Amino acid sequence: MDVVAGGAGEEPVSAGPRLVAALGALALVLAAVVVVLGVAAWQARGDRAEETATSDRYADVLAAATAQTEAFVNIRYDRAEESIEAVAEGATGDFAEQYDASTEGVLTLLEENRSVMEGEVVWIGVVDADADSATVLAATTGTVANVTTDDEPVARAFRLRLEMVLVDGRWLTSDLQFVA
Amino acid sequence: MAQRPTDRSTGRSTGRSTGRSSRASTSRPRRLAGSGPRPGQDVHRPETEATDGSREVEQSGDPLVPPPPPMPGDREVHDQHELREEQAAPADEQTTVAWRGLGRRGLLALVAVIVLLTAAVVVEAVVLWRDDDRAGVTAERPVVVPERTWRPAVEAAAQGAQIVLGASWETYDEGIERARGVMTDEFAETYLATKEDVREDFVDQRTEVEVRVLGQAVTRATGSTVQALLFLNQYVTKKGAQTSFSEYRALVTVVDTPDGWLIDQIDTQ
Repeated sequence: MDVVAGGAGEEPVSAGPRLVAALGALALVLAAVVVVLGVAAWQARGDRAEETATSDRYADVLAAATAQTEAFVNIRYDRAEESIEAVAEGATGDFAEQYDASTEGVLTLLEENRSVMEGEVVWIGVVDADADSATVLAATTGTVANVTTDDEPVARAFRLRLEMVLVDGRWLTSDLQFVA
Repeated sequence: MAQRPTDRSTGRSTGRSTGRSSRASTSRPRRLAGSGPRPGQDVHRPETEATDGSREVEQSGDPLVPPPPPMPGDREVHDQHELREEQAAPADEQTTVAWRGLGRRGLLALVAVIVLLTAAVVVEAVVLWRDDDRAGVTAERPVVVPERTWRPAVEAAAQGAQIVLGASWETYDEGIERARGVMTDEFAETYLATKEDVREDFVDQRTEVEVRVLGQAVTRATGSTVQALLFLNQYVTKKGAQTSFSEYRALVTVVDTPDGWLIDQIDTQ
């Protein structure tokens, strides 16, 4: 081991040129690894942020669509206004206008037929979604009872397509169609 | 010894008095035999003074006699001379010079840098490891991957479902073979058992089943498993009967494999 004279006022240091070269090389390698991992971590962080944003959006869309669908398939003549109000609460745009315009007729039909429709969402999924609009498919199962069924519940499954839009931070239904 | 230029008034050397004295001593031209002062020559006067006060270097005219050493102020001459010597210095000497300046503080600084870089590598590795450990899906957050991940999976589910659920009595075995290519081995066991059970009736009745996808959506998705909701219309034709139509829904689970997204389960309602 060579004895290296330090700078002015320093004690000699026992270190050879090979040790210094090895340490320098190690530092360079570590610096390269830091850069590579740093880039990878930065990219992963961006991907993770995108995934989180997507996940949150889908969760919000599906929660709103589920609530809207279940409101739509749970309508009873003995709580008609309450049932219709639940649907109108999650509606917007053309769908809200159409539903509002037909409310009187729907109330009459419900009363006359003593209709009771009960149901739940079995499966629901996102077709497309961006920052302020989404398309959702919902599959429901349930029963319908009215005068034509002698007030006996009859199985009824629906396939629904909902168009959702983000309005003032809430996902609302702008269109609802049966898929046939 | 070569002669240093001197101050004529004091006789003292006027060579550069910087900390580079050791280098200056090595950069002096070596004295060659016969190159010393000649009789009658003032060793302290290696050059002549021009009448106008400018300096003129005295040339010996002897090719064995090196030119006189440069005078202070002849910077260009000095630099060129030093450069020649550095270039000519052995590699070992240069290396020694390179690390000699490191000293204890430099060495400690280098070690500190290595420690810091190592810590940075560890931190970055932990960040990446934690990023890979993605949160699983929940009922409230069923989709935890971006669209570019689940979209191909849903497409594979839709296309695969048409192949698996459709069939023709004329190409029954070919249809089974084709369907095997879009499903996992585990699902294939169930599928093959079912197809074997209905084979005879299916062929005897010359049955044709066509399935069309009316809608497809993602219901649940991770990087390795995706569930797709499909709205399907099924058209069944049998010998001597009209085509019947039914609409149903299917939840198709596909898993990521080296062969692509394969169907692992189909639930229908």
